[in-house]
Amino acid sequence: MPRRRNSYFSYLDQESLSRISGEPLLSKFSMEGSVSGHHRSPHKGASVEFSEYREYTPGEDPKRMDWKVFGRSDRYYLKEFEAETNLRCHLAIDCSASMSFGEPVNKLEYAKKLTATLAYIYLGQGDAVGLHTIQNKNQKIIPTKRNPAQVQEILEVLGPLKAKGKTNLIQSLHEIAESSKMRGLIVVISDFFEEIDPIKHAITHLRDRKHDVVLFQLLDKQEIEFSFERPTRFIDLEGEGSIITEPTLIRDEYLKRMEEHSMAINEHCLECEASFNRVSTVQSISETLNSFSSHRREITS
Amino acid sequence: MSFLQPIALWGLLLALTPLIIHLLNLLRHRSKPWAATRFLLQARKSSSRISKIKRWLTLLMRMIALACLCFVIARPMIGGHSFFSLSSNSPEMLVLILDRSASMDTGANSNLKSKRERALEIFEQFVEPWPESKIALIESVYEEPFFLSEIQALTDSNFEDFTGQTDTSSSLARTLLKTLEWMKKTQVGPAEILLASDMQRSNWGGNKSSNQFSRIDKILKQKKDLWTLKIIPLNSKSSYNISLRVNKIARTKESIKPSLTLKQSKPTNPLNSVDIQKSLNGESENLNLKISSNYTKWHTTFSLKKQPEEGWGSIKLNSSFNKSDDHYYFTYRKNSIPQVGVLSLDPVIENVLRSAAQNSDGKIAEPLILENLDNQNTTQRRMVIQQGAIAKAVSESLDKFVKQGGTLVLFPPENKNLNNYPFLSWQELEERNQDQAFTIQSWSKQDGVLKNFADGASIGLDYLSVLKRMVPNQGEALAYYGDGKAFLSKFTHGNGLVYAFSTLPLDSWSTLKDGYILVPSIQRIMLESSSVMDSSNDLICGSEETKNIFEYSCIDLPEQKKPTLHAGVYKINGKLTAINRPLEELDKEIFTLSDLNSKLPNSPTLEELNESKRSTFKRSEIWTSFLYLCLAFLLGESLLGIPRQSNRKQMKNV
Repeated sequence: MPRRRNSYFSYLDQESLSRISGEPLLSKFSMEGSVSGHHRSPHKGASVEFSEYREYTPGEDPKRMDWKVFGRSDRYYLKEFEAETNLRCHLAIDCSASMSFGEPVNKLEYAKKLTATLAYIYLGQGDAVGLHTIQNKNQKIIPTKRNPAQVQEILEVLGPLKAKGKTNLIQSLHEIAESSKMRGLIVVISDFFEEIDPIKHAITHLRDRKHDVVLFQLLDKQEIEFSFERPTRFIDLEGEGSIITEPTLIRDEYLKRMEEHSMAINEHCLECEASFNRVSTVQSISETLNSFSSHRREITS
Repeated sequence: MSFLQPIALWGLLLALTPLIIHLLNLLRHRSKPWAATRFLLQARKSSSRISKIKRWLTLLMRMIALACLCFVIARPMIGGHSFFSLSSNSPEMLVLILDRSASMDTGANSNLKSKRERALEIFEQFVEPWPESKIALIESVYEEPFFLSEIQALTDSNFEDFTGQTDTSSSLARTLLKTLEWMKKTQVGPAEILLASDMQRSNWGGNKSSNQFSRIDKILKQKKDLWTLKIIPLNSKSSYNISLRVNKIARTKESIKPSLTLKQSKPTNPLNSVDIQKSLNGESENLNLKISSNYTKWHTTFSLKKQPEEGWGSIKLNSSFNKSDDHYYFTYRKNSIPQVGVLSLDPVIENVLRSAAQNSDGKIAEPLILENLDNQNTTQRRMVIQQGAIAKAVSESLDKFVKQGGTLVLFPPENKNLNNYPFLSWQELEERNQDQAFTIQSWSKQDGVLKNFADGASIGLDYLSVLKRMVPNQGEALAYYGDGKAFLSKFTHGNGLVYAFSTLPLDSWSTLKDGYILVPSIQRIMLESSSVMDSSNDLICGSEETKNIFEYSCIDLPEQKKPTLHAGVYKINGKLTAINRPLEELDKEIFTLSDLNSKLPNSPTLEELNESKRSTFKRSEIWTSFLYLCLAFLLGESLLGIPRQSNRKQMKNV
């Protein structure tokens, strides 16, 4: 049931905000930002963060020469500082019909909360945040902005979103990779129920563009456990037909396939230095983001 | 393989239940919207054959488990003892049929243990190797089966009522039949039945039991593979014994005169004398009686002077070797003038007979009105003279009256079909003219109702002229016609006597009406009737009547005896009642094993119990095997249902 406009703020998970807002969520790679921020920049410049001393080469700007070192050693050295900048965070949320599955909270509702909370956190640390809704048609794109009012705009788009139609995930990821000229953080929230090779290509494409890629695979408890006993007719949510089967007969094989799929994405992410997070919708948003935040801190420290 | 309860095999249809439920479940699937259909399709495609086999194996195991359960209930049997019977070939039940008749307490061997005690001892040893088998006892008095929790109960003093000594008789054919029918009804499996009896012929009922024997034969034939019937040999050489039998008790106004016979068995070293205790109303007198041969007849007198009008007495042998045949109890009441009733539809005959039955006070006999002849009247009267047609109800009343000790004098009816007594029938009417009249040729002149008078004069039967006669078919003739047929016959019926004349006191029939024969003979019958002890209250120990007595008090040994089990003097419903052992218990004729086998032609040949040769059952139950199979299949089914370890790990990892 769609929420009323004024209740869209409830998509922001207060517990997560109170736990994470104190420490910035850093990017794994250096980012190209327009203003100073918390993330490493590929450029050197004025900053409080000392980087290194380097011997002067004629032709370089003599402004950055360290005259105190010259006074002591009679040699020309340049003193360099790390530049810190902000990042562009692209939040991509899958709105295909498969995301409508789940009890008591379906995957799309969970994704909306996760997206809104991440947007708030990144905006809060001065980063620019944009939104991509991945749908078969009527895809919506909110360009990245640093303006705090961007949260409102994102919530306005997230609120009425409904899970319907076939997925367009792969194509959308390629489009995001192509459209984002400057390197940034691409957060993809989906169930990734796609062929494994196209997913790998899309991730590779994003990484080739120097983006920091973070994947959240959302799964419902029933999808993970598959604890059905009676013969059941499973009707595909994306209109791919139905299948009558005895769950107890195929359960082992199903769980094996599901595990292999997630493992394949995870392995590929490890290979190309992307982050993969498998999330059960029974977990709270706070737990999910806490785990994500801890992981980020580990790899950036 | 056969089954004890084949009806339970219908339950095998239930074995199809898991399959039916499985198919129904497939039909009654539920719908579920699903996101990860991709993996379902992949899983179904490559769903391992093992999973399918597992599924069908599970179904199969459930079906087999149910089938096994049905077999358990149906109690299958296979030939002989086998590995599948899983037991030590123990019979399910060990049954003792104990003959508790009085003769079973005759000494069985030199250590003076009775046959009954020896039987219990043998059974105790017999059950020892089979501690798992149930033990049941059925004894001949109550004929009710009951289980023993432990074999020691047989010799427990609290169990005396069911295993102790009795003064009863037994009907072994009936008891055996009841036992077999009970076992059949309760569907007993393999069983050993031991019959402990001294095989007294009178206990087997003779021809009366033929129906019971045929039913026993039928059951034993049906269960020949399951049940074995054996006889505990107890009719071995008995030791010395002396028994007491009362032949007759004469009653006068002031005395009671029993006539007894003492019988010695095995008189190789016969006793010369025996101690006897006479008791009258609790006062005892000890005597020492000299005896000389196998049979000794003895007459004694109990004086009733200064004794109450109603009382009891007993005679006991003190040196007997069998407690059951050494005593006799009697009761007595006021000796009144016999009351005589006359019953005839012919007024002439009735008047003649009433006059002939005049008592010592000069009072002629009362006429009996047929409608008033109820049981109460007949028991009050000592003697009834009856002639002519009677209804069946009256006939039954007279039958009861005689059985209870009354005397009945009968005269022939006008037609042989007019009387329908259960105890007497008449020959066809024979007629002769005056010149060729029937005459009496011989009669007992020394004793009986036709004996000579005190002065030696004959009663004058040879002067009797009979024109018509109907000769009674039953009884001992006291006087004979010239052609050898009976003029007057006499026989006992129950406790009473029946006299039957062959002609009527009518001019057209004979000169009996003249009275010179009729009056003395009727008067003598009346005298004889009054001198016989009134034993209408007396009962036989163990009879159906005694089994229905619930309120009583024992007079001779207060609170120590029961009328169902022990002879004695009891007060029942306010009346003194003497209960004695059945006389047939003195019968020594043996019903041999071959006699018994001939009565049961279709059954397996019965044998005597042989300690060294135990039974091996031709069939044994194997339901325990099916029970274990059922449990094994259920366990297998459960194991197949356990998820694989790897799957559980996968779930935990998520």
